Amino acid sequence: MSTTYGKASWPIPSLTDAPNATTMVQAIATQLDSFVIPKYASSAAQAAANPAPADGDKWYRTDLSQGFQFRNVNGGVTVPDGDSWSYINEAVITTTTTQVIFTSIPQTFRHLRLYVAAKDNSVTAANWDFLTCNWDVVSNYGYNFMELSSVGATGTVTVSYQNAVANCICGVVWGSHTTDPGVGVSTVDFPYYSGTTLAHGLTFQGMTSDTGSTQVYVAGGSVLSEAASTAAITTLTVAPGTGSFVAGSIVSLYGIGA
Amino acid sequence: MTMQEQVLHVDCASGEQTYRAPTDAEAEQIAARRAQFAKLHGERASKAEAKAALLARLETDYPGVSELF
Repeated sequence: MSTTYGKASWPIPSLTDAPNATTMVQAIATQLDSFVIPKYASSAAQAAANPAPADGDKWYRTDLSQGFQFRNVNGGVTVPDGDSWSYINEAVITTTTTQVIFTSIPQTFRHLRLYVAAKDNSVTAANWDFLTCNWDVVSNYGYNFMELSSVGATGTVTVSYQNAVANCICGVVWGSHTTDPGVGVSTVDFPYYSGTTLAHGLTFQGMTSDTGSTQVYVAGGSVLSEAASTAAITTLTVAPGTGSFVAGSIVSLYGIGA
Repeated sequence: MTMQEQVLHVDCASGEQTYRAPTDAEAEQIAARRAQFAKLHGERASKAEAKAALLARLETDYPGVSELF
């Protein structure tokens, strides 16, 4: 192997080298390791084939349809490949649905983010409903909900508060009983959701309106589960406060970082 | 709770999505949630009504003051 060739600097045998198929194929396999992303059917298969990944090693898990990369930072971490955001799953509602329940939420990310665009079949005086969530069924949620309501040119701020309740607010949903095509959109963050030392909380922002004609409601707030609940968030129930999601509503779950 | 109630279960491990009827425990949680937020809607509406009434009274004595709120 006296020369190299190409961008990968592959070693090329000289004509005077003794033929050695084993050495030659091993050399090619070693070189290919840096250029081929292997596929594994399970975590066990990946661990067996590459038990001590080196910095930059990549692989794809066919059981998860997800790529991974080993980074030699913070003592060595395996992170979802390619970016710091990863799609987990999405519910596109096709029929009236009381609630969406995400289970077996992977614990491999650092933070969770939920996006929701929704309408529901509630009939409230305000024309809109609260978006709610719950990651354990104990009455250990407390929240502050700050709402800026604008009807025409007049705006008012209203603060709502509850504690020791079983469900928390995480956004707003437009009521489908109105004849206009309004919608409620919300973004909800769950920082450090997989930790088990501290209690878990969320922050959110939401907006709902009748598509800008007269009524606009902008909401923001924070929720904290009490210190008694330090279990990692592995399931998440998302639902309108008093009604059910109608067809077309979307609830999307993403993982962030590692 | 009506017979038409259904929930969408999204299993993030398998990717499967299944519409099904709520379990008994889920049905209880749904009822509790609706009671909790119906109460909050009521409190919110009362607060808004009281605020509007107060502003109306202020407006009588101080015309234009409601523009500040």
